[in-house]
Amino acid sequence: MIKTLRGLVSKELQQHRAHFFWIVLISALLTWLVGHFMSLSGQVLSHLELTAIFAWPLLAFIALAIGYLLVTQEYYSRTQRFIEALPIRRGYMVSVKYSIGLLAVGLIAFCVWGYSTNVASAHEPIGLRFATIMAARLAAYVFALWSCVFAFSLLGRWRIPLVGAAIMMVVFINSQTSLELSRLGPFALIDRELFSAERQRFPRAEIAASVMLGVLALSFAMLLARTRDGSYVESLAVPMSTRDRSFLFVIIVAGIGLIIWFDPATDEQDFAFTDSHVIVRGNLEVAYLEPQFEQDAIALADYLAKPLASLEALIPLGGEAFKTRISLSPVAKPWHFELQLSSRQQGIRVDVNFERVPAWNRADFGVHLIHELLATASSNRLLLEPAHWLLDGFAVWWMEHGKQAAPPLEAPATDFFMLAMHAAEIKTIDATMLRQWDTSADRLGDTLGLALAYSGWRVLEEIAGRETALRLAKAEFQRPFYGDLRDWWLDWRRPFPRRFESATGLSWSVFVSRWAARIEQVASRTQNASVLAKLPRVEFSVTGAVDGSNQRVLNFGLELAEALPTAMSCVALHRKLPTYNISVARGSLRESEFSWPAGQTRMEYNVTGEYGSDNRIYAAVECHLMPFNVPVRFGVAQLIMP
Amino acid sequence: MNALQLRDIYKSYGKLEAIAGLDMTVEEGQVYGFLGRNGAGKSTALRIIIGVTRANSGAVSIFGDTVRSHDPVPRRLIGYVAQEQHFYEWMTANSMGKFVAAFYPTWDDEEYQRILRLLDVPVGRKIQNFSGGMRAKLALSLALAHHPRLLLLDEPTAGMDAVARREFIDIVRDHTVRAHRTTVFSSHVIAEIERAADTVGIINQGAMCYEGSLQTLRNSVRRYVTERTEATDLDLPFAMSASDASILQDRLGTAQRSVSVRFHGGDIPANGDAMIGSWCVEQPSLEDIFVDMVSEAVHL
Repeated sequence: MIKTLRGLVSKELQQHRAHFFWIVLISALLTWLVGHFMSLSGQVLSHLELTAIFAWPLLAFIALAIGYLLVTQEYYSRTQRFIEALPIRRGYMVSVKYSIGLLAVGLIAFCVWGYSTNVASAHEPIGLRFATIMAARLAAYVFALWSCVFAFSLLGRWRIPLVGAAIMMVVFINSQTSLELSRLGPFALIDRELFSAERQRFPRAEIAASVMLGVLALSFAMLLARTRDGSYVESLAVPMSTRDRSFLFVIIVAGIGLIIWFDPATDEQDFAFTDSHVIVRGNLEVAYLEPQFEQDAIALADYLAKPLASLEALIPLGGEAFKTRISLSPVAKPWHFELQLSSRQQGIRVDVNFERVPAWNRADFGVHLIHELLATASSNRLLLEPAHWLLDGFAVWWMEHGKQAAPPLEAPATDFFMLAMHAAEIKTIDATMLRQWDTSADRLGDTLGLALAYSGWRVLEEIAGRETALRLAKAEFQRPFYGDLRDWWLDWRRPFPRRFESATGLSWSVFVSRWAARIEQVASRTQNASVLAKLPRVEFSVTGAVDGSNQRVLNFGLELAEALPTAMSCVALHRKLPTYNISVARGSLRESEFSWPAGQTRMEYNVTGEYGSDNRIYAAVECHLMPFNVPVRFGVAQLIMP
Repeated sequence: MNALQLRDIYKSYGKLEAIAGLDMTVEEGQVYGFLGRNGAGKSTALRIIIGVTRANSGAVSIFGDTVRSHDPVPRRLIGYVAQEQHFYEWMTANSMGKFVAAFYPTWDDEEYQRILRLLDVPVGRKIQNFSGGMRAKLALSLALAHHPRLLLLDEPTAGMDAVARREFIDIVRDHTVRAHRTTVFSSHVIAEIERAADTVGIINQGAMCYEGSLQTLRNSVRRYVTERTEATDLDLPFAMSASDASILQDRLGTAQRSVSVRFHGGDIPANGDAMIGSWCVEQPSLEDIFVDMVSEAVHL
């Protein structure tokens, strides 16, 4: 038997060695390319994500190619008949092909994993348990993937249409039902975030589901290969006839029709305020509940109408893109803006409490509206790095200076610009920081993040002139957005630095250097420097521990070089992270308020009993910074509770 | 000893009955000509013998041992040349030999090289550049190199020119006699069978309709021809019972009627070779006999 198997294996290796060489070479090249683009994009938390990105869909395509070479080609050329006539058991040929394919796909997957683990280990600790979990995930995924591909490969001329149909079905179920297949079975095993972040939980259920899927697919394949002495597979391995093509065409047309029919966009209900208590200013509508709120609604509408109308004049997006509906939500916190609807076709609708709230800043709300309008019109494409900072900064810049040019930076700095200078001390302005804007803004918090982004527009306006700044806004925000792969293609063809240079005539890297230098120069002015010097520089730490009563404690530690002259009100922000979530909105965080007494250099605050063992925790602290009276984030961290 | 015996084999593909109660016996050392029209079930029968195709019912025994379907062991005793050669095009005759050698404990590489030389098969050329005849010769070399006791050839000369066909048959015949092997040679070409076989089996619609020596077959069939009249259209040349003889073919042409009769027991009765009334008697060729046995009655 050994000799027989060796003969079959050696034939396969001899036949496909050149193909395997090219597949390995292409895999290595793809791995390098994906890794390279991941580094460039700056949107990656862990280099381990490279394995997950490679596993789906690149590895699936590689598996399909291997399946074609090993299985489909054999049946297409009818050479399996020659093997069948040799004195070997019928299952041997199929089993050898399955094993070689599994080995090849597994080898490629584990090489990529080895590479990404090696790169990642320089940036994050990778313990034995984590490595075992990842290896188990990958092994189960490879088994399920190859078993399915192997079964598909036996389907001859129908394999590609059926693979396409399977992918369409997954996409359809994901998009049209509440069932999220990408979080189930083999897809969950190689989910980018789960793969690189789930360090403690062994995904037994997902592995079991994947193994089950693999066993089912393999059983189907073996059954198919033996049905009618293998003649069924043989009959499938012929080119498509005209009848087959016609049938396929009808199926594709019917499938597309079904998807269009189910498309939620076609079902989107038009929204309109039906109550008579609505103030209308062009595309802006402000709805209020009772007559006593009418004056507040009018004041808000009058305040927002002009910046919104002038923005629409600058960037005419067409249709109802600038339709803005605001409704009173008396129960909402004063600074809480709740987006109820965002649609490219219908604009946005926001609930907000605008009833006599002194803490609420109308300008902040305007910034929020502009930000949401432009993001929605771009199908949220503008929220992606590396141009996200541009939208953040523009929203503030437009509310502040939409009507007329900003004053020169030589003028005394406003509080908001002082905050930008403070933010630049915390996060140095450079291309990497801007490329990783989401991470940078998360560290800075909302206020400092917006201030830093705003300073970029101020410097741009000073360097290149207001017209150039407006040209950049038009070019960047009025780009065509399709909401599909075309956006990725266009961004890949013309990355942000090139678009920036084209709109402004300034080199991106030169601009970033001049921005950093200008902020540093303004900050070094005596008056500004003395203010900045007085701002507290806080050492932040957060740890998880188990107390005497076996409760989990989240311990926040804050330390200053010099004691505070006056007490400072602070808030500990925290939440349990799902294993896959990496983007944390401020509104989703739980708040635990505390006060940092005057005269104290060290402050500790504990959150007890809210989290369990192995919980992934997001933790941050914001304190009210005087004299600016705004919340400033002192630090942020993610940790796993022991 | 019987080299091969098939008993009551049935095989159907859905509603299509490919083999319907086939019986077949091949004695050791024979060259057995397996005749039948295209689609008569010859290839299916041979595939059942080598165990590639599973019969619905019936029994196959090779050299006295009953063969189970898909059992690979008896295949080691068999050399098989398929009707169509599905070789790996990227291989050469040499590499093909190395590959096949792994599956036969009795593989004899010297013998393989000798047969390749004998058949004039280029050893270093890729198979994709082989002609149809060369592929068949390679298949024969592969089939013979492990010294099989039973050689199954499924219409191996299809697509060969007359010279190559004759050469191929001579080699098979010579090899069988010299090595005292048993050969089953399937074909629908009568001349090939006449040249190669001692014994012939004629299969029609999945069942054996004659099995025996060629000479006996020749001797047992006569054709009677007469001009068509009302009287001859109704009568046979002579009265016969089903146990004595059977009508193989009764052709009603525009001017003539011909009746082929096969006499059972092998011997022609005394009056069988004489002219009976207006009926002339002819001794048909083997091809005529074959055609009469497997074709439908013709009425013009």
